[in-house]
Amino acid sequence: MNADATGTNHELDAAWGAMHPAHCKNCRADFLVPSHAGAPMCPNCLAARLEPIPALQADAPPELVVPFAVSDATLHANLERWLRDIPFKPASLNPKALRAQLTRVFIPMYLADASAFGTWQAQMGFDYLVASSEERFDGSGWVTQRLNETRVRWEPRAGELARKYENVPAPALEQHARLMLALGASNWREPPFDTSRAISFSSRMADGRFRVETHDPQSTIRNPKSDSTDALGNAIVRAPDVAPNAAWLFAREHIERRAARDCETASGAQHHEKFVLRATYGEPHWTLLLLPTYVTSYIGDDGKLIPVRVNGQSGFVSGVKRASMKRAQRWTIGIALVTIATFLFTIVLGVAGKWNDAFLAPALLLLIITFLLALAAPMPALYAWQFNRQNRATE
Amino acid sequence: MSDHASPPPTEPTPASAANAIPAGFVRVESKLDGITVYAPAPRAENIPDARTFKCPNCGATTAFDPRAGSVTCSNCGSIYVIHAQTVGRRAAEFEFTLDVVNSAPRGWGATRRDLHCENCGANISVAPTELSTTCPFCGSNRVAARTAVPDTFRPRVLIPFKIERDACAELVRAWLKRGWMYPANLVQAARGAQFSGIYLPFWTFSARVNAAWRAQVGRERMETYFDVSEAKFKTRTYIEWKWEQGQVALPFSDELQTGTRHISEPLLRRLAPYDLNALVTYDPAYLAGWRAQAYEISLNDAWDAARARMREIARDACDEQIDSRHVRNFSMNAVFDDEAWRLILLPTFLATYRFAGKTYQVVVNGQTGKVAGDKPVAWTKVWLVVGALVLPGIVVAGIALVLGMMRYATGGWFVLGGFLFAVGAIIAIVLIQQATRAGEA
Repeated sequence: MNADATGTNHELDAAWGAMHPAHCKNCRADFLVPSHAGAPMCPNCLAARLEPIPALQADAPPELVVPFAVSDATLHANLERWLRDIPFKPASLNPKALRAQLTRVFIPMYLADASAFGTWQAQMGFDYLVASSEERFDGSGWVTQRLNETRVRWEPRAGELARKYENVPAPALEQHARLMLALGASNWREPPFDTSRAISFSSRMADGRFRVETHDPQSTIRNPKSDSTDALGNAIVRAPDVAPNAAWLFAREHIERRAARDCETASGAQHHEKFVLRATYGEPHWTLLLLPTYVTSYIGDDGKLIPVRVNGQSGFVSGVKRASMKRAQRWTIGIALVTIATFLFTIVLGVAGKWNDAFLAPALLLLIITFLLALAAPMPALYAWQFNRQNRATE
Repeated sequence: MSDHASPPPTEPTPASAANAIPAGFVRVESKLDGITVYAPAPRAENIPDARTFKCPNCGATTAFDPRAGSVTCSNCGSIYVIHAQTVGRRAAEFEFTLDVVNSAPRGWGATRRDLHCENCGANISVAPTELSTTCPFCGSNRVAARTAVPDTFRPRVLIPFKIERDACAELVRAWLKRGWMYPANLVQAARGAQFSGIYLPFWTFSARVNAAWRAQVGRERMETYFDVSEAKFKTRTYIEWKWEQGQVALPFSDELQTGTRHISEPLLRRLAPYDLNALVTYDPAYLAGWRAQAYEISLNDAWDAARARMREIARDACDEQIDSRHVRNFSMNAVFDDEAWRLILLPTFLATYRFAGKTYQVVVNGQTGKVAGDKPVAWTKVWLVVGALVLPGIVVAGIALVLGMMRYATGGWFVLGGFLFAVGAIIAIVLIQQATRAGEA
């Protein structure tokens, strides 16, 4: 990544093949889009169309690609499940429409390899069993129940560490944490992707001609499968906006967490706390990895596109759920009109009942129905408003 | 990307690993390549290997002297201070871990010999110089050497002897003289008793007991009802039953439980209390010239007994919460927490003496000098006193009866005689009970 710009651009051109760089003026994200794709909407913000630019700021092609692995049926089922609880869905919010809008987007992430040399100190917790008892008296005598209780004994440990850590995830995007959570991570530091299924990147992938290569045998990442799906075919590729230097802090934090677990294992402990690692890191190696996602959208009441993201490997769906207030209001108005009609008819029957008592009973029944409809009329709007309010709170 | 990528920033090179490992840490096994593990060095316990207690000055055998509180040479008078620490009740306790038997240290710190009494079966740890001895439990001389019991936990703390062997005789003499119901020549008969100082094993247990109880508690209520047969209102008491519940949290600290079977539990309890604040860290020097017995009651058996006592105390505490004498369907749950134990040695003098063909045991608390033991009862004395107590009543009542038959007005005297007899009989019964207990002790 520190090669001169000219050399890098040649390399980049060769690597990316038939894709051209593009930029979103709204969110300032850079992409590589297939040459035949024209000027698609920015899959990041969905608020502007991508504009071609001469070259990317990023200075290295990816080495690995995690292929898409979600079948159409799974995708359909997941989308259907995701939108099931949305009341008064906007017209464009249905599985068929969402699938029609699906765009394949690869997002970048770094994998760092580094050797750590240093010393560590920690409090290690060792589980041990203690025999305890519970005595019960029920009038006829005592009954003793033996219990085994697990307790933790904390002891100080220290030592030296000389280990190589491979495939440590590190963000390549400023939005990394938000995207990882949106794609199904419970902790943004642990990407919700099985990176062991990554395949080597080839420039031909960008042409839509799929080629599978064997990855570096030294790597812990498994060799690619020959049945991997159409790697980059028609996908937009998001360019990194975080340099490895900046990502190193996250990678180092991750390495320290792994080292803490390793030291715990080495000590034969089951818990650790107050872990301190004083280490130097050598033999750095960065790998740019592309993670598969789908981006689709639906149109909100205000005409804006609301994004829905799908993890291209697990099929996890996330996005802002919006009920259509317009549809809800139409329901409210409809029920209100019916209420007015029944009320008027009730008056008519009531007046008729002055002359003929037979009209009084249906009039009373209609009055009750009118009352119930009057109560129900505002419900759709209220329900949709409440749903949107709750989902805004959880966005 | 790869290696040509910008290298990550590096941190300052740490000090050499040797400097970074805290002092006192030693290398231990690592279960992962590329990582070494250091742990605090196991605390070296001050337990010397086999030690012979000989005076460096004159070569004579030395022994622990309670008066000096140190090891002394009876030949040249040299005194050797024992560097033990008084830890009292703060002495380390152990949890009931499942591997406690494996982890507890074993063996004795000094060369000692376990002797097995073929008469009563007691195992006695004695100084190496004693090849045979008089069994302090049964007085038998038929003692033969036997190898030490392998699974003996090593005591960590003990209370050293404070009472000298010579002082025991005086203490016991005073104790034997106490009371009128014993033979007059008992002191003379016990004069030949040999006092043997021995450290007896005891377990101490600590725990927190959280007990929850539930019971139907009856409260007396008054109610008014109409009695049809008598055609009037009456009041009567009835019991109103209600379910009640409560909780009790009791801390137990250093509950003593004997570890020997050769002295009865009641006798050992009569020796109590021992001041556990005087516990010192174990040092073989304290045992020099004294006997010590290995435990015979295992940790589990002792804990079962101690726990049974604790739960009964907890039950009594639950009972106290119930302010009614009407209770039924009482049930309780006692949960034990923070259980801990330790093995300690307590100083005791044992002696036996023979009187009228029978052997009696005397025990002296080696810390406080309290004496407990068995004494023969002079039943002739007891019956004479009983007779003296009931006779006045019989005589007065008998004379009054005879005079009454001779038509004298002696009703008052007869009642007085009966009263005297009754009082005398009650006192006599109490005395007989006391004498019986003293005879059985």
